[in-house]
Amino acid sequence: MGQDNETNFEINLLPVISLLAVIIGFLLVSAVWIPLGGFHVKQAIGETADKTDSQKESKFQINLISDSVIALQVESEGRMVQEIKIKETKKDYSTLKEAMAHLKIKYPQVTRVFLMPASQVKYQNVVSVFSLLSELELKEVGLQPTL
Amino acid sequence: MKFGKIRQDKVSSPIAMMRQVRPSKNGRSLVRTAAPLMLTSLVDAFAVIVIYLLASTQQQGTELKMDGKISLPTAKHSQSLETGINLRVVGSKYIIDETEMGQEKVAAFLIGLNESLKAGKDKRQGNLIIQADKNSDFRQLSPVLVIAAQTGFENVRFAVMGE
Repeated sequence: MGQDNETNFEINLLPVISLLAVIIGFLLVSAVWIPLGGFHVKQAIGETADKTDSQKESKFQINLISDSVIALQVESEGRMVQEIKIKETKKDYSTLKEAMAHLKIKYPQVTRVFLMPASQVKYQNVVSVFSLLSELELKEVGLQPTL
Repeated sequence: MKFGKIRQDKVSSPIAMMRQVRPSKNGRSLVRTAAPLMLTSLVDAFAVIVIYLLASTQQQGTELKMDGKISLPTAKHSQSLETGINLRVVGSKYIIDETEMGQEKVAAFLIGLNESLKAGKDKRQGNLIIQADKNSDFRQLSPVLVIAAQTGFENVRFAVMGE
């Protein structure tokens, strides 16, 4: 035993490991695992909007007449150039998605979309339309309230 | 008790003489072959996990108080939810910053709130986050959009749950 006169020492890592284990436990418990997201709508406020320009703009207009009936309109420089009526049978709005994808290719200059849901349309369906527009990379989406 | 029975037995223990890590004979270590447990890699791994968890919890841009009565709509493709005033639509009632009110009081409340946010240079100024049940009709949300535009909330965000 008299030969144990070594001066070599090591940093005691056990408190560090204990601390890290506690932090990991705390973070795992407190972390929120529900993936929350959102859809952004920018609204015109006040009377600053130039009506002359807005009348001449190009846009897609999606009228959600009911949860399953949709009217699609394409306006180019203020003139309506195409109108399609869709009877949506699928919950994920894939028929509308196909139609919008086709229109996006046909009218590449149109980037704005106005969504006009009827008052009885379910909120989930409005969000589904937002989701498919986001998937088609149509980011400039406006939502028109029902008057 | 230097020459006690227990100590004598311990010295001549065949198990102690046979062990591989620190074999000993008559209580003396023969060869120090003990290797310290390598804890450095374990600490590294723990540190990486802590950093990952910290980063993943920071990605939630805003803290959103959920309502048990509201089942948020689901969406496959959504954007990140930024900070804003939380407005919950529960039936015909509207809850803004934990204050429940009817539709007729929403406009006055939002005007006052937006002015106080402007004065305090709050980041939430002009931003509204709407939480509503997925089965609610659009007619319940429509007045909020009109009121938000009238009261200076130009950025409206709809909270959804990712699929």
